[in-house]
Amino acid sequence: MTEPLLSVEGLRTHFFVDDGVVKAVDGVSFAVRRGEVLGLVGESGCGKTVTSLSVAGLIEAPGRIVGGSVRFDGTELVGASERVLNSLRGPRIAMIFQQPRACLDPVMSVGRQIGQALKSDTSMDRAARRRRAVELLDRVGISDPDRRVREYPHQLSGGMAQRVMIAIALAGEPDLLIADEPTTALDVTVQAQILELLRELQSANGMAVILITHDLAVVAEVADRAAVMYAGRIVEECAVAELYQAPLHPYTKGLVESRPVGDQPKSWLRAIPGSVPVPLDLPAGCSFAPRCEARTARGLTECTEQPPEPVSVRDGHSVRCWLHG
Amino acid sequence: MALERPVAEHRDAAAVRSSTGRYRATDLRDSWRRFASSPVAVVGLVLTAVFVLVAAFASLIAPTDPFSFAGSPFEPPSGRHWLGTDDLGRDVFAGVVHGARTSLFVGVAVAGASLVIGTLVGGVSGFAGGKIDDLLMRLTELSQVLPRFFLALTVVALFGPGLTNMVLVLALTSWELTARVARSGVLAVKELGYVTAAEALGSSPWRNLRAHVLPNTIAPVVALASLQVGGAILIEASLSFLGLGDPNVISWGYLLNNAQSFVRRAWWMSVFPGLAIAVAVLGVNLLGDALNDFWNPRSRSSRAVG
Repeated sequence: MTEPLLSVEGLRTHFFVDDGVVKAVDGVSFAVRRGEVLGLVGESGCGKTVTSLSVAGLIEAPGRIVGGSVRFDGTELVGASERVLNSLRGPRIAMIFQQPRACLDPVMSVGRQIGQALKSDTSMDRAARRRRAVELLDRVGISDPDRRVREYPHQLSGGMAQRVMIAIALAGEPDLLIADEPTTALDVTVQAQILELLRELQSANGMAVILITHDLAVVAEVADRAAVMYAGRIVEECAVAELYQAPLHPYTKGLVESRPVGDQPKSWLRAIPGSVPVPLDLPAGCSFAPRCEARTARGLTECTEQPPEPVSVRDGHSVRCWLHG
Repeated sequence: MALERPVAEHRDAAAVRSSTGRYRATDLRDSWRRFASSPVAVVGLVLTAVFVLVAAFASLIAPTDPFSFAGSPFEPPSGRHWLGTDDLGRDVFAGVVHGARTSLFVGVAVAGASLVIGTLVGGVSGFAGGKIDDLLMRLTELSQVLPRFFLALTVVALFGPGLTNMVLVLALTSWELTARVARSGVLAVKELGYVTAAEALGSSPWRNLRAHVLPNTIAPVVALASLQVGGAILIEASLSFLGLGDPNVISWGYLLNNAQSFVRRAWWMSVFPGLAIAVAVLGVNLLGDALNDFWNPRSRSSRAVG
């Protein structure tokens, strides 16, 4: 196997607040190969976004990366200088966010914002950047790009704003795109279009994508592999098909089973009992233990005493659970 | 693939015409129409334009030297002396017209200096935070507690009356409000999504400040600067009224100072320079307000999508 484009090892990002230390990300490891789409799934507050911001070096006080490593194409990003990070962000690593409209500068026209992202390429003059902006808008499926390029963010719909955001992210032709809940703020039909666009651009450019979402359906549609996060750790990582057919971790099973199933219209949805632990006060053992029905059924004692280590069950499928230890 | 329909239907002709590629001309026409749709903007612009034109072409409009004797003393307004003459027989019209120069120069110089210094200090302070912020803000507070008018009085008393001294003193004491407004704007804007987004796309902090943060905070700062044009004109007039103006330069305050003793005998000596001050200050302030509205993209309502 070739060296992955991005490999994250034991990443720990903590937030030092007045009430103590919030271990938002506590030992996350995963790898993304070139041209691969990794879906990072988990519910709100499990550390998905903090993981992505840590990868991009955008964690700000009171947060700090306290351990682990993030290697991007041979360069260590943890502890790298702002200069190094700045040179990577844009041309190599790009990000898109959940609220597309909030991420566009309200006083700058769409064309100029795309132009900003092109500025690192000094071979382009103003007119060339303008032409490229129109091309990019066309590329992300915005009709009448000649006109749109002069418009301001408030004149765009949410879906168009996200397309513009994607155009900006693509401007540097990055190797890795981190998409943090790119479709959450959009309505369902637009969601589907944006996902289709992402998939299409991903396969055309051969770029790697980390798709962060709480929506299993989105992962099923777009990702090649999935990593399930719970309370700051990745509890299971596998190919997308296996996630649905053979989930191993009780949490993953719970997530998969709590989806509505099309042919049983009136059945109740299954829910995972309990709620996500408070990040200030994580359980000593496996953080899912208090909610885990499999544990109570089997009567395992390790679960509440010691956190499980990830175990590779078969090639490309690992899980962090005492049931599989 | 299925494309989204454009949400905003552009009914207005300018936008449709622009799809032929003539960006700039239509942009300008568009902006002008939007600006001109507000009566406040038009009134402000007209008054300011008159003020600026009078200042620029003072020697053409009133060829008489305002310091020379043009007639007999205390002539009331007439066809020969439109605004009458003063106690020494000097033409008041010439004085008012030439005085516009002084006022415009003082106003623009002071406001410009305060805009530049204030934006720099406030912008860097808010954006950098931490120790730099503390240091710059203490400096700002120091400048804020200096009583501006009396400092100007003292400097004029110490170094003699002169326009340059006055402008320097006013400029160095009027940036603190601008700095505070700029800083608070920067503090609010730098937390917004698009600043992080720009950072995530490789924008350096300096470029971020220049390209995204300052343009989003500049509107209230510019509005404030235009109010300072008015404020500076008033202070200059006040100082000259107290006889601390430059005696070699004609100004509205100088005319008023001169008129003090003759208010009852020759009303025109005080009314016209006073009116000039009021109208000029009103004009710049209205223009400043209109500009503030104009630059706020959220008030570009005509084509907004809900």
